[in-house]
This record gives sequence, C-alpha cells and structure tokens, in this order.
Amino acid sequence: MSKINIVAFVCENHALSALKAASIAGDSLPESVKIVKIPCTGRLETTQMLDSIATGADGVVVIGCLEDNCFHDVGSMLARGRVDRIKDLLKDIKMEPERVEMINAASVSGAMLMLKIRQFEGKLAALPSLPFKGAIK
Amino acid sequence: MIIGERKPVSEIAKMLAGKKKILISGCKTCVAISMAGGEKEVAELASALRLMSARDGLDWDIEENVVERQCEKEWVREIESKILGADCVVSLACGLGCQTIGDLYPEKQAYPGLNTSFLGVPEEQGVWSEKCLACGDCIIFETGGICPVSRCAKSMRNGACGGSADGKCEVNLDTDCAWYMIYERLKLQNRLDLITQVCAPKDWAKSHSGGRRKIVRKDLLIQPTDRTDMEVKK
Repeated sequence: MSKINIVAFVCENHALSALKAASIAGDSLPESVKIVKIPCTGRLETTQMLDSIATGADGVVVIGCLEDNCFHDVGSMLARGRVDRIKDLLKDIKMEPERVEMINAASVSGAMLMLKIRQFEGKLAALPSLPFKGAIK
Repeated sequence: MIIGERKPVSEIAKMLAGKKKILISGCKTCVAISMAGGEKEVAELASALRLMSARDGLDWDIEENVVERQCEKEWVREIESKILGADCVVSLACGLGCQTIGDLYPEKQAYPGLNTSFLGVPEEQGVWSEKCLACGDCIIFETGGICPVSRCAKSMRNGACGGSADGKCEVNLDTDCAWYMIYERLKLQNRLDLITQVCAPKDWAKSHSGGRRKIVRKDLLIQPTDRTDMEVKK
C-alpha cells in the first residue's frame, strides 16, 4: 500500500474528546492522519478542504460532534452541507467524491471513531493516486 | 436583490481552455448575499480551478478579487490593472457585472462564472425565492403587496385560476398559490372589494417585451446648459 495522506479537521469539543478517549484506551491514530484542530466544524470553509487535496492530501475527513448534540448547536450540520458541496464539486471535475468524508462522534465514542477513520483510510488506499502534473499558483 | 447560482466548475474550466493568467472577480453586493459570488465563493472557485490546474498540468495562474459593486464602472476601474494584467476574467457577479467589465475593457474576455437566476429574497438560510419580475409597471398596491406577476406561475392579473387547490399552485405543489395569498392578505386588510374588481390587461410594453429598457433622469445628468437661447441678438 502506498503512503496515504489524510487531513483530519477535528472540532475541539466532542470530536477531540473522542480522539483523546481512544488514545487513553490505547487506540492510536494511523500515521497517515494529520490533525488540524478547529473551534467548530461549522467554521470550516470549503476552500480549506479543496486546498488540502490540492497540496498533497489524498483525502479530507471532517470530524465533528453529533448533529443533535453539537457543542455549537448547528456547526456539524453546516459542516455536513459543505462536505456534500465539495463531494458534488469533486464529481463535477471528475474526481472521486469519496476523498472527502464527514464523521460525527460523541465524546465517549472513541473506538467507533477510530474504526471509521481506518475505514476511510482503507477507501482512500483503494482509489487511484492523484496524478498531479503541475504546481499550485 | 439579484439571485445567482454558480455555474458548474467543469463548465467554467471549458471557457478557460488555452488561458494562463486568470482573474476571478466577485461582487460584494447582491450575489455575496445570495452566496454565489462573494469573497468565499471566489475563494472556493479559485481553489477548485487550482486543483484542476495542478491535476491536469494546465499551468493556470489564478488571482482572486472582489469589488464592491461590479455593475458600477467606478468600482470596476479600481481593479483595472488586475483586469489588464490577466488573459481573461471570470466574473462571479451577475450578468450586469460581467458585462460592465466587458464594456469597459472590450479587448479582454470576461466570462460569466454564474448564472443570474432571478430577482428574489432570502427566505431562510440557504433558500431564496423569486418575488419580482422587473415588469416595469408595479401593481402590488392592488394585490395586498403580493406580486402576482412573479409569484403566480401564469402571471395572472385576475386570479386565481381554476387549477389552484388547498392554497397551492397546480404547476408546482410546493409553491403557494399567489392569488390565494392575495385573497388572504386582502381579507386581513379588510380590502376584499379589490379582488372582485376586474383589472385591465397589463401594459407589457414597459417590460422586456418592449425591448431593452433605459431610464434617463435629466435632473441627474451632468451636461452643460444649452445657452443658444440666451445669446443676445444684435
């Protein structure tokens, strides 16, 4: 398997707590995942997801609170809308929409979160590598 | 306000074939509020095009910019050097903004990055609906403030038609019948007498049917006074 690069935008509230809970339980993140902490997934712009892929990430995962228990009320819902928008945009430009995913996690669901991250990593590994031919200007 | 919707990125990319230096210019007015052509949307389109460029080796050099109102020459002139320095401009303003750039700099190609959809209002976050057709002859003082020209699928002047049921339009059951709403509004205002009056056919000459429209306000024109009448005759 070639090396996979994943950018994970993680909300500092329930999602980060879930990652910490998993870590305490001895379940560590795959090496392919680079964490970017954000105050709320609702703050994440579509541009940040696209730029991550354009600058070398094979995929982007947005990890936020559960939609009915979001720390900032509607942050996770806004993030889901933007993830779906980027999936449509990737389809439009003939790229795999599976490169962007949203995962919702409660503070106590560290094990479930790790499982979903590994599943995402597996999906990305099955995709063809991005054939970048030029530099970003 | 003017409501727009960004064109698919693939459609915009086709317009840019063979170009290198691209300016994406948005507008901070209507299309920023309809979240189609403001600062964020310009950044999003630029990121998507940069991604395509890197993937396909297109060597696009993309610059982003947002002007206050792209339909006004004064604001567009402020970015003249950027426009002249680019091979082409993708306008994320409405059709008016794109044409203003094209008219000011006819040697440059200005491409529409969004489709100008309609004159409407934001109903809730992420929802906009049409409420005016710019027909040039407003009659909503007779219809309780609700425009039947834009909000009735048949633009009926004397409604409702026979197809309306349960307050919904037969053309689209998700749409409220404009004439049902007009009836309810007039009833609330104790003005139901208005609905029994038969209205004369609308003067469509004032709409686009009469060709391109233009308004000239003489009091606002800046031009020298014609002094020929004031000359002292010898």
